[in-house]
Amino acid sequence: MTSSLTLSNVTKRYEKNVLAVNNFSQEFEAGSYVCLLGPSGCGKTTTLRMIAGHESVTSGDILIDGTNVVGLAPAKRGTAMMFQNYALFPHLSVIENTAFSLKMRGVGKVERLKRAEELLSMVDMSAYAQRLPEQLSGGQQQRVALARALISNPSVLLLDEPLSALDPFLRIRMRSELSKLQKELGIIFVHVTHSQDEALALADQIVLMNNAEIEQAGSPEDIFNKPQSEFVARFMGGHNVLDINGSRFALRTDHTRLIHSSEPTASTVSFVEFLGSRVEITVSSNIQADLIATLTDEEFRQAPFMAGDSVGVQWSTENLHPLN
Amino acid sequence: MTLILSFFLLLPVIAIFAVSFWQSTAYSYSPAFIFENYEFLLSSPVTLSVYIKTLMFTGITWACCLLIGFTVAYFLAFHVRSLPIQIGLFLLCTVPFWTSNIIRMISWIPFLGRNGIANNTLLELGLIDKPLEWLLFSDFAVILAFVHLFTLFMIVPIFNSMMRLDRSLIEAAVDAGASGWQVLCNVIIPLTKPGIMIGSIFVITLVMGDFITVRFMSGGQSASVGRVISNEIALLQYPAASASAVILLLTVLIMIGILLRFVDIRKEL
Repeated sequence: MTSSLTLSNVTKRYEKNVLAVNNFSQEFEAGSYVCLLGPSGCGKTTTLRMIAGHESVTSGDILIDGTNVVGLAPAKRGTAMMFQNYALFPHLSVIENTAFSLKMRGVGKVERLKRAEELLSMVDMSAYAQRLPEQLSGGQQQRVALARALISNPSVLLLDEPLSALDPFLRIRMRSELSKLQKELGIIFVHVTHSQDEALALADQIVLMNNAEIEQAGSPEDIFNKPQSEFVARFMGGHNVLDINGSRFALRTDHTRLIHSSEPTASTVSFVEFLGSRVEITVSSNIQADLIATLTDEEFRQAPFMAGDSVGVQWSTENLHPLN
Repeated sequence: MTLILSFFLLLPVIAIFAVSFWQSTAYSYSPAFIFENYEFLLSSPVTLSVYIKTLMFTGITWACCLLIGFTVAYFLAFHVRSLPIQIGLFLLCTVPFWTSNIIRMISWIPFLGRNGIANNTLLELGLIDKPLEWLLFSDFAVILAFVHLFTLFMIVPIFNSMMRLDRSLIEAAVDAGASGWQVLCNVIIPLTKPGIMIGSIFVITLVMGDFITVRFMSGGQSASVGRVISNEIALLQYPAASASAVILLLTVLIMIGILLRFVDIRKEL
């Protein structure tokens, strides 16, 4: 079963003319993992909620498998949503939570509990079927929320900042589990996040939003290596933005080279940060904004820099990426 | 705290309990340890009928208060979007409480009387051809006054429970395909149960212990346990009144005990 998701000119305008999402047009391929990325307030969650049907669309169309779902009830769209705080029903056990949507559809008790059992074993939570949500850890609650969303066989799964409530260690583990699950199910996952690491690690397709509009959409490699604007370069990180003869360029920090200078130069090292396998060196100068050079620890050991050192900054022109 | 409680609550209860074993004649009473008061109370057919009547008042009042209270709280919590309006409407609900119980009760009398506003309006509209007799000084009037007096005690805790309810749960239920009615039955009612229980305890204890509303609104025609006690006190039959009070207290405690079995109220406080 392959299903596609298309948004065309989707706009959301609140009262008093506040624009939350402006002219969002994007086609998502069947079976892809999509990340809606952007700073808070950029409209990514609103977009997700419009796809889910929890927010009305001011104008534009949302097509799932070629059917326009604008105006349909959430449950009639073939979408399922996983909420940011998981929104598990506190008065229902794990298995009853999982079976909730089947109960709403009037599926018999034996049948719906059997199906819920299957879903729980898929997310490895069978042992906790009779517990209440408050007796589970954050990661376990998330698995239950995932099972509950998937029980209705959605063609699109919508995840609203699913990993933000977890501690960093668990976040990385759940990240890989989400990815694995999506490959297994072959349905579209739309994942809202403000973390570029998460988006780069998970997505087949990233849509980076800013101020209610799409800033850039594409594969993680494209977004990271070919940022179209200064905002993208800065938001994705790992880039210096250079101003050369009035044009702006992005330069990856690991393509930025430093050389020691015996004479005082315009640039001095202001800060050295050791990050394990890499070292980040911040360089201040009076002609450019602060630059960052990322060295491997090996390189750093061979030619260490210290705060206050006078340095020259080098790059090769093929690594410069022009920005709009 | 303990001191205040023991002085104002525990001590009087112990005193009542002690006096309930005293002996009394038509003209006097004196300390003793006899069960005559209880024997008389528990064997009298009047007691049973009065309890049935009181429980009927309680049951109907509770049901009406629950229905109205839940509806009002639901409207305030889920349909009124802006917080200032919500607070404003909520305060509006409490306005009747700025006057005393008795005044609010008495104000029903000109409204419900034989030549009162209700009857006159119905007559003029041609809906009835002679005044309705059961509007005032009847069980109907008693229950009406009770509901009027005590619905707020139901609204407040239910509203409180509803305001704590995480809105994303409702969205999650809708996402799972629940209709409005299913959301109400499967999510909102189960999660506001503690509020419903607290409100129920208020209403039940207030109605069970009431005597003044029953006397005023029934015109002296209906009895309740509270009225029996108040009459016994008026006749200076303190031992008998104490025995009635102890039995009433036990009844109410048992009822609350049963209610508390259904829900863990401590979670809510």
